[in-house]
Amino acid sequence: MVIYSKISKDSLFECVNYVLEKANEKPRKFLQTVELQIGLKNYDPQRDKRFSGTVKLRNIPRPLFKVCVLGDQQHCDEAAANNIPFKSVEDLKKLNKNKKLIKRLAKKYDAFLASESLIKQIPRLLGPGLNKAGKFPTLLTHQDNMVEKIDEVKATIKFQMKKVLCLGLAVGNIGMTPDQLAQNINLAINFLVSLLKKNWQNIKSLHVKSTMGPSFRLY
Amino acid sequence: MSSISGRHAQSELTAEGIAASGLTSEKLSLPNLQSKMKCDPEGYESELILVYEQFKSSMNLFEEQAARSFTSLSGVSTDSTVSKDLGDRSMFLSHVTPFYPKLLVNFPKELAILLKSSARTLPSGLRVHVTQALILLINRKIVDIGETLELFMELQTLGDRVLRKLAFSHIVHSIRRMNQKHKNDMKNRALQNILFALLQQEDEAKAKRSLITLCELHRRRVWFDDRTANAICSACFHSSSRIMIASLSFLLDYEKIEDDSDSDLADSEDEQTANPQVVVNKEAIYKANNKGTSSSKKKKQAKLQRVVRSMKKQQRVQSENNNTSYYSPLNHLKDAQGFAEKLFSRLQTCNERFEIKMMMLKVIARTVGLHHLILLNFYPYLQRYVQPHQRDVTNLLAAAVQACHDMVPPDAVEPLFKQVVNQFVHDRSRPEAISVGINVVREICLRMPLLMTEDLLQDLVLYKKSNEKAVSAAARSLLTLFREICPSLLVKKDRGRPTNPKARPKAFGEVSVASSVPGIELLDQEDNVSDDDVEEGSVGLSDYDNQSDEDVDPGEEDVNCENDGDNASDNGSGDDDKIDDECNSDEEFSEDDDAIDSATEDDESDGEAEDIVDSKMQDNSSLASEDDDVDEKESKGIKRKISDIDVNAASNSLRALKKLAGAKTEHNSLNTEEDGILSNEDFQRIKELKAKKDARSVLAQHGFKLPSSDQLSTKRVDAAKLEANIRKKLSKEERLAIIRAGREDRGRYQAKTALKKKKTGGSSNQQKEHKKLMPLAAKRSKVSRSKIEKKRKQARAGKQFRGRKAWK
Repeated sequence: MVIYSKISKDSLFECVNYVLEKANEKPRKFLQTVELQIGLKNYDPQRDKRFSGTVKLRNIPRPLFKVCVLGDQQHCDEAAANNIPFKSVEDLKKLNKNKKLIKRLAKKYDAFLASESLIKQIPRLLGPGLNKAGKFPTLLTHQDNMVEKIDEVKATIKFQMKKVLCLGLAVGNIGMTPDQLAQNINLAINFLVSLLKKNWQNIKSLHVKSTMGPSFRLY
Repeated sequence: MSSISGRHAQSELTAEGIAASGLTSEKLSLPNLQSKMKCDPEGYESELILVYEQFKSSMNLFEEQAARSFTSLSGVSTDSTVSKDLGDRSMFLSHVTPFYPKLLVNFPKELAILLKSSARTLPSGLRVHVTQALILLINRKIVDIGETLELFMELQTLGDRVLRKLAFSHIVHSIRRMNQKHKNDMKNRALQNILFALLQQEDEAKAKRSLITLCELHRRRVWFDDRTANAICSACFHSSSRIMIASLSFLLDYEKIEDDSDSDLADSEDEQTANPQVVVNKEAIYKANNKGTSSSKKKKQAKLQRVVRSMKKQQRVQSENNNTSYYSPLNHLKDAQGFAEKLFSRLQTCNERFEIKMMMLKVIARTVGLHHLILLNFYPYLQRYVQPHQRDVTNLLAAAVQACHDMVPPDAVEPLFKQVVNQFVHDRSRPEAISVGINVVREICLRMPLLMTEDLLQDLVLYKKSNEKAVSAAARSLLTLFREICPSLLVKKDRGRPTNPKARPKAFGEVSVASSVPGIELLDQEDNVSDDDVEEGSVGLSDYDNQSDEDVDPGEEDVNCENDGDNASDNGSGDDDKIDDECNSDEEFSEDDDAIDSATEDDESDGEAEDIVDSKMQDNSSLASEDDDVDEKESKGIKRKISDIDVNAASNSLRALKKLAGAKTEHNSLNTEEDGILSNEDFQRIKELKAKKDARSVLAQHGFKLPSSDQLSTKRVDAAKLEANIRKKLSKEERLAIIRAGREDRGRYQAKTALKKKKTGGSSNQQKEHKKLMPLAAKRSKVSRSKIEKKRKQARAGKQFRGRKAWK
């Protein structure tokens, strides 16, 4: 059986190496992110259904991803012990449904986790602010290991097509080994293509680039 | 006053004078002149100037009149001939404008000014004429629509029906034509801005016309962008309630249109799905595999595959039609939360009629459901309307259902939910109310399963024993739902054979994140099978068996599991399997070994692989415990074989797959990593395999399929579906009446001879015989014969007693 693959393993590695090499040529003062940029075709955002999907990558693409725990007493203690930012019920009540403060909170962190007892109150305490920002907390139970759960959230990326035919997202950083990066890119592309109605026929281009570096056309 | 009227008369005179000197002398009517001008524009310039002068003077006259009517408010008395003249001339001039672009450069502007300043005072016939002249100029692209749009909008508000229609259709058509070939965004935007500004105005008439225009253009898919959608939606907040109602009904109509197409679809679906459900039951699958001759098996299997194919087709059609609702303006709301909140606050404060409140409710509920908004006050508001005797209660409940989605915390909806249950579902309420209540509970639980408690569910499910068919059907549907989403809430005997006995609704806020491409494990499995096939290409027969098993075995598996009780039959059928399998067993053995090997390559030692196999066996033992019992008595070697067979068979079956998934994931993930990037063909295969799997699960679940929350949110809830529309059983009288109704065209019963007497068209054979000309001798003999006959009759008659009996 012959599987005709759109992108060979070699070209993927070539791409990854190119990106890493270029990024290392001129070191910056921060950890550059590696982005995957996607152009779509044969897709009418006016008419076709907009797709969205989340997938957990094997390696954390953005180590500086900030997660805040909205927890009950036990979770707050645990978070404090692990040096993770947290907010208790009282802190949230202090916001007093003030839209500006809630927006500021939503902007400050990339994702939220909330304990079981708290998560049901969140709409009441905070109103629709977090929802609007697309950062409604994820459930954190007492059985879960908090650090693991946060790593899981950190490793999760979200594909969401809006009104334009292109999307970009972080799939890794230049601190990763080529293997890890290739793994991440591989999974991200596979997942994206599986979301599309006509799979590869909907893909116009795939670019990989580091934050400050040149882009490399993968497809 | 007198001086004005005098001047008026004078100007009229002069106009007529010019007309007399200019046109009548040349003996040319305007249409003639028009055609001549078209042929030779230069030659008729003087005439043109003349007519233009006349036009100007009469226009001045009307403008003056308009000014005067403003001051005096006296009734406008205009000469019909003058107005007709003006109308004719303006038409004429607009026809010839393309030929005299320089001379008539100001003409369009003058027309527009005339309409703008004195449209109200002009007689309606003239008004229409002048408007038509202007439309002609616009159609010739001499004037831009952008400049005159406002004027036309104003003309629509004059209260003149003909003019309104003319102006409206002109605007719609010209904008449509503008966008036919390609869309000029800048131009559209300018026009939209004019209309949006009008829509915001306090003036009801203007806002209404602009709303109607926007709606029409949206409906015709000329302007269905976000801006228009948002403008239409924001019209819900217009201070005038009539505008709000118009906008609401447009929004709801969209839902209805969508729904119509949906219901059509559903109907066709029903026709299609009705078939497979009738044809494909487990028995059919079993028979196709195990009963009859090989050729008849083949036929049956082909039939099953046809069914699977038709299911796939259905899915495709469904997915294609899913996006119909996309055009609804509600989908394009920029600030959905703000919209819902604002409309809800208006709903709370307004004192409109109940119908209008219902409309607002429906729109709010739809928005909340569509965008997964959180509007916690909405549910308590709905709660006070939830009563069985409430008007339009099913619509209201449908709205309530729509407003439920998985982002709402369950405790916010709980009071409403309880209210539905308490008000509708109790032993005293009418059966219709009970069935509506249970249906609503089902729909809400479909969206928010966390609301249901064990006691409540068990109580509700008891209604399945109800004598009313509607009620029992509703209770059964609730039962089926919970068999899927949370069987543990049901009492044991109600659980049936759920597909996943440990299913449990997701906790609030819990999200499931895929860790790889969905359905990839299917591909891997397929890969294993096909790889083995390639390896053992020499044994073609076994391959075929494998394939056919693959295609249609879930039913077989089900049968095996189901027949745990009656072991005899199972064994009987199992014997065949065993024979087959024993032919295959060697290969399967090796297959499994292969699988194990591949697993062990990733794992460390063989011992671990053995463990895995053991755990698989244990999993299977729960499925086919009977088999294992039998196995234990047999020798070890055979046991090993059979367990392998079990593993192999189970790996095909859906449920075992889920159980094995845990053990296999590692293996899978490593494989996909090696696979690299998937190609189109891979995705195609995944799709096929998924469809196959779906078809199997559909068969196993009797056609019940749990829709995803996305599907739920895009589709409107039909209020009629909440009502029980199960036909009541007819009484005997009713049935007889129906039978009689069917007979009516047959006519009353009559004797055949009576019918023959009525015969029309020609004489009968008997009559013809009477008339037939016969030779004389024949006639005589006939007469004599009849005489003899008569005599005989008389002779006989004498012996017979006639009349009363003597002794009486």
